[in-house]
Amino acid sequence: MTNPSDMRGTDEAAQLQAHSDPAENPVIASVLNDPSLSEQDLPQGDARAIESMGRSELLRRRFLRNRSAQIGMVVFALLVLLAIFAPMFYQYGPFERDLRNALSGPSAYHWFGVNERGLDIFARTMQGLRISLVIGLGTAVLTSFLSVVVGIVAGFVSSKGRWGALADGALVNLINLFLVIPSLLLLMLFSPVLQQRSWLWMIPLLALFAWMLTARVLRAMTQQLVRTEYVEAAKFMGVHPVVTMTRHILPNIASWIIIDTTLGVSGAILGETGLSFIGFGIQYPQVSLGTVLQDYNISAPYTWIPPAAVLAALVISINLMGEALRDALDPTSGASRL
Amino acid sequence: MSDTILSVRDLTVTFPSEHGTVRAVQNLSYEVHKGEALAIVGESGSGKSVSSLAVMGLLPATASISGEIELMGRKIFTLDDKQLSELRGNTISMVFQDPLSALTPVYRVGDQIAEVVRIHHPERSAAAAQARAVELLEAVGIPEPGRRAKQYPHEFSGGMRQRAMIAMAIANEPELIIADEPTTALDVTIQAQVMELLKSAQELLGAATVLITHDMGVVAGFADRVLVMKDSRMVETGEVDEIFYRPREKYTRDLLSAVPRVDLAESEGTASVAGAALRRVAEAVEATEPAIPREERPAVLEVEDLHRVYPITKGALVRRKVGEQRAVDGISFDIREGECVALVGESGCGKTTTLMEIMQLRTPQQGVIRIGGKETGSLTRKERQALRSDVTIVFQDPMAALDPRMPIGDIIREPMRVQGYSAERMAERVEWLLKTVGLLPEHAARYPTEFSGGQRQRVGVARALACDPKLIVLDEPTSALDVTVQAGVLAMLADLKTRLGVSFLFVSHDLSVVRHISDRIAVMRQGRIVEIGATEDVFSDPQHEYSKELLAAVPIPDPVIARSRRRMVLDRAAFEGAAPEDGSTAA
Repeated sequence: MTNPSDMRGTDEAAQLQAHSDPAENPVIASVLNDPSLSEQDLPQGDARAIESMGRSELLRRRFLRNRSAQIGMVVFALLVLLAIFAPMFYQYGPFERDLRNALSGPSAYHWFGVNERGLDIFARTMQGLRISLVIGLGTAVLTSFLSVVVGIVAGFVSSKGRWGALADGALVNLINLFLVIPSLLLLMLFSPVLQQRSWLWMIPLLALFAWMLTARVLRAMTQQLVRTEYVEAAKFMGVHPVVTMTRHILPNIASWIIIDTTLGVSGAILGETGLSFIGFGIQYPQVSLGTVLQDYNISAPYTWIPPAAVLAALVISINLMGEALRDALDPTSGASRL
Repeated sequence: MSDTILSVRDLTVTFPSEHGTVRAVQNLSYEVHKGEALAIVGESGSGKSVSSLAVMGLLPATASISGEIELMGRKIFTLDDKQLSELRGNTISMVFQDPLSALTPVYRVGDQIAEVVRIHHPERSAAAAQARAVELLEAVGIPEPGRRAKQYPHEFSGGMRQRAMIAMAIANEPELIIADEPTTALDVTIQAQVMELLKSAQELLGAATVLITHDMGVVAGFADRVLVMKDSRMVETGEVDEIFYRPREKYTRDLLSAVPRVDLAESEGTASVAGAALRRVAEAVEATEPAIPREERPAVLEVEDLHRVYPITKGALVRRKVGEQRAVDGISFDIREGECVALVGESGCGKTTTLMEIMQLRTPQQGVIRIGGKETGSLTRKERQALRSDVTIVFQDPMAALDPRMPIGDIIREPMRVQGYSAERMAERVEWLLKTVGLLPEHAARYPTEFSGGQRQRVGVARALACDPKLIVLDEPTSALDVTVQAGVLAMLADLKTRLGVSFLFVSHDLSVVRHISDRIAVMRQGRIVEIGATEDVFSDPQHEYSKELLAAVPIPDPVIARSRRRMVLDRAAFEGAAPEDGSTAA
């Protein structure tokens, strides 16, 4: 015996041992007959339905249950439909002048009225909505792409020896450099020049100064994931680092990237309209919500309330959806409660 | 025994969820009397923790509760939060599972204990409460209590943190102590000390105690009565001897026989499932082929004089080396073909560092690692890549070891894809592997979250087996699993060993698990192997002091034995404040 005070062997204990006879004890029997079967049956019936409900289904349900998500989706869908179809059917274009009706309020012909220069405000608002939506979505996607590449690479190599740490340090310093650059001044400098080629240059220009914070967060998340056992296991299997990054790390931070991209859309729209408003954003012959607002006349509210309301509705609906998405993806948030 | 401290009648707790109502506890009734220790035993998800949170009034607002809980004649559900707060910490106190997260990291330990004292006794001065905290720390056996009270939780070891938690729990001499898996996060020698402390604290205070645990070994030495729970319902309740020696229900018997027994050699009978299964597998093998002596079999892994030293540096701008942490300090061992070597030791002894050194397949800092006769330092990139399929690893936590975003078929395919297997061969092997580890081939398209812990660990083993490895490194493969599941996984591993001739390096802190599966045992402590030898020799005649200590600390699921091993550890004089001054003046 290993322990002097260990006086095993009362009759009862002996009796208990008899119970470990395979014929008596189903756990043992199953283990003996087939070492695999002791717990292999997946839950049946009700429990099975639980098991087979996928992540995406769960997410969809939680998202749709959220009241603000419903409102946001409806408003956003309406605005997108308006942006696509309204300019097709409306009788005025954004640069058609109707000087006779200049500075007149909403009417059956000019739905939102006409500004001082004789331009139809509804036509301009809808055209501006188009441009702002394209720039907002494009910038958000490009920003996420940049930050994913920099963030995941920096986070992944940071634990890979001295050279990895050096590369990580270089990328972090690049992030810091972009953070201290006065981005507004550079945007004001480059935007009008690039606008002469195409208004789409606005997208990379805005993205270039917006990816840094997301990249930092993604770097930290990657560093955490690199230490998990399944990434470790991939390393010990000899999986190529690039494959590990795309197959193991990216899907596991994808939900966060989706949320950040969604919320990034509204940020990009506000950035673009702000620049356009002060005259350094979208230039003639294009029009954005910012340039529409630029033509305001404070004594005639119909010149600035409609574009401002559309802009606010757009940004708020996107934020409502983004926040609902975050709640749905986060199991500790209130959305998991019924 | 007549004073009823806590009575729970017909308690039912349900939670709403995505998939309809989840019943966490159903129709649970029990009573705890003054000075009595009740153990609630069950596997994970059986509702044992939820029922005790209900007693504390700590369930989330979404839970709907029915039934009645009466604490010293007061009905818990009729009290508001303020009245409950008066009870918590004063009449009931709780010891949580994870001592790391149960103490606030930004406050001094002494202040946290003093806080508990002052909340319920506002008339005491801050200085008196501090002095009391020091007394309490001394009572629970913390050396230099005066200095320790001024330290932060991160400066305490796991065992000391749990002692501090117990000090906090007994600070106001509660009528009822609830201990929720108090030793699960601790090493086995520390676990024994903490359980002894808890027991003597309970005896000293005469408090009723509810111990929640999954470990029958802990129960045997502690409880007066046992309540077994399964799937949210009570299975059986009774006196401890009755439950252990004359269990009425089948589930209780299964639970008892699934616990690996460290005190039973294989020749003495088959008290545990794993042992029984392994013995049978072993017999089958002996009958078919005569065993080749160990010395004549080729070595799969040889480790010679392995060192791994981490420098401890100081300074922000210029790093200077101020010391070194010798994580692995010159260890040597070898594993022959078809052999299972167990590496046993407590946390921080260098087990995991050793594994990582082996798995890296790089030149170690000092020493030599040879796999199949080839030195790892001399490998070319290509050879190393090929060798990755020969040495594979199964991780401890089946939840963390599988990528949650990949179907298990892809998880098992991954190592084969790296080695360049063809698509048909992979499909064939995935099917075979799933069958081998006891899952259905249809499961390949499912995601890890759809499986239980034991099933996930089987997937982990299937992944390790994917490319016909020569050696599988098992890093505590069963410590995160319930006992009945653990038995199944162990039996499967033993079966694989004999059928496929794989060698295992089995790392564990649990001697009772290792006894049944390993051929040889290496006991590790502070980076060194203090003892290595055949399993039976180490168990029957441990040579090193530390091996003896480890063996003596393993809880044994037998009340008579467990009681005979107990000692009194709580310092009664210090608790009653007889010797407080030297403690506080020392600070």
